[in-house]
Amino acid sequence: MKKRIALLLLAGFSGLVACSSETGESAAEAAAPIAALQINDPVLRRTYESSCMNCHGVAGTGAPISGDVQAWAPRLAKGMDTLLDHSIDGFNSMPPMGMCPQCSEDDFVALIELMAGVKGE
Amino acid sequence: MAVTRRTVLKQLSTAAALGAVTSWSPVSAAARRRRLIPWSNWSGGQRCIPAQRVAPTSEAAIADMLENSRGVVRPVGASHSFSALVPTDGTLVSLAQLTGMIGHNPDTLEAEFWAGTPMSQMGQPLHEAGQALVNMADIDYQTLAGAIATSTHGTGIDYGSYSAYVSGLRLITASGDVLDCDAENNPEIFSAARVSLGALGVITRIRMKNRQPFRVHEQTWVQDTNELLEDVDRLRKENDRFEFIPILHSDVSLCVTLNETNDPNTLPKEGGGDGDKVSLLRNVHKYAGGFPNARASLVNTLAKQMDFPDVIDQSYKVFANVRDQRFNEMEYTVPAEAGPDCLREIMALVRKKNLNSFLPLEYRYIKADDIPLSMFSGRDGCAISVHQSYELDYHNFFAAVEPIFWKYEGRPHWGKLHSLNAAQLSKLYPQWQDFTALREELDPDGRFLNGHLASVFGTRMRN
Repeated sequence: MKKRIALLLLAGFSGLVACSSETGESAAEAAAPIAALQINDPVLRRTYESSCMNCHGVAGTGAPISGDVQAWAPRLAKGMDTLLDHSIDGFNSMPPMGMCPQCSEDDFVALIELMAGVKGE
Repeated sequence: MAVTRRTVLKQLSTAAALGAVTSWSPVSAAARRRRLIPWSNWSGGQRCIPAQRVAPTSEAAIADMLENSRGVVRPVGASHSFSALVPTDGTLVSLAQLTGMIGHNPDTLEAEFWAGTPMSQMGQPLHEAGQALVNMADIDYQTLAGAIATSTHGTGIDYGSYSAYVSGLRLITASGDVLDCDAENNPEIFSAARVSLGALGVITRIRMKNRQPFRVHEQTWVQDTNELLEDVDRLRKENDRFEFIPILHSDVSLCVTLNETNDPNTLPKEGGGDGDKVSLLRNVHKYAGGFPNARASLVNTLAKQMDFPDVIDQSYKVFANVRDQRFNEMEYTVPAEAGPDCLREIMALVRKKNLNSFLPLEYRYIKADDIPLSMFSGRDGCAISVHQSYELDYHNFFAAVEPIFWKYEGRPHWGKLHSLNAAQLSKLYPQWQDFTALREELDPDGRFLNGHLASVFGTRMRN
């Protein structure tokens, strides 16, 4: 009886976990290599590489990957003000300021647009 | 036409109405231009509103800024410290524009990096230069400067912290002087600056003593925590690197060994972060937290169902993990031999008082060094980390656990939360006075002191 209860609980909690997974990526997808984002402006490039790239340039972090227009589309639909709020205040796994302590509002907008593939340099 | 108060109000209400029915709003646009951007650390637990935030693109610009400005200056790396090392209403200096490898020496296996280089971006260039960091932490979000400022470390009783492998650095002092420091040049400053909390000046370049590239075999399994503690001496001696992750409110831990190998690579380390495992523990906490015995049985059962694939790859691809679940952290290093008793006491307290937390602990070993403010100064250490999800208040939980660390002469990790000040800290470090005297000499006006550091060093803020 005890064992059956434990198994039921295990199934239940595993179900909760499955529901909580946002990305649903497989291990193979998670390990897929990411193409580097081309940024010619050296200041913007170093800003991106020392902050955003830690998560948005690594597969399997749950963050929308730089240049993945499809993954960014629902985020962009929320509007730039919301994306700025999330960048500055943090949102779920996204840390406040996105690990860019010196970034201004203009910097955040430029980086979001570059990662989302909305605008080139 | 004269502009009256009524005209202005009318125009504003028209603009507001327009904003309400269209996506364009001059009012919100104006507000957006004035958006206040605070600094915050990774967890969100530390915040401040600095007067200015700068990211100089050269050492000359940093020296000029220090020489020609007034007020408090705090260097900032990746903002991954949990303690209040960074907050200031003065100037934040980010090293984000000073990144990458400067050069390397194949004969001495040393490599020099700009101090703002993220740890995550050191492995590949070092590998291409025929080198590898001797050891690495399990997170690589930090910058090199931030990592050595706080004596950040991995695990392995034969391996020191990142700071222990620094063979040279460049420091720009409060007066704008540029000092090259190593064992022969400015040796006292070099020794202290290897772990200096950003309190001696801005470090711009760091030379690391490395080794040849190597490959690592990572194995992870679940085991009873008491069994692990009984076997801990053998495990730490027989494995190159060993740590375990006790799961709160349970009897089990995840055990991790990292051994050097020549065996062929496996599939690359999986991404995906900790989200699923943390969600599991969060849900158990939420639904079974009021039933401690049932909860323990459940977590024991669930943990033993977990499966972890072996990983073999280049060292820098194995050590670091994706940590996508934010948290606040307290960590103390106790003498290595005191580790098991200290951990047993913490685990028992958490169970006895059913403390409000669900993230696991971390238990690691680190080799002694001779750095004045290193947590490993003069003694092999056992570092025990306590975490709290960023969504939960950490104060009561950490306050309940912290006295156990004091009982075992624990030294707090400088980048993690603690409640000690100079009165207690000065007794924990044999070379404390040497460091504080040097700090006073290099920064007599306290340019690099914020409130937290003034408390740590037992001095007044002067800016």
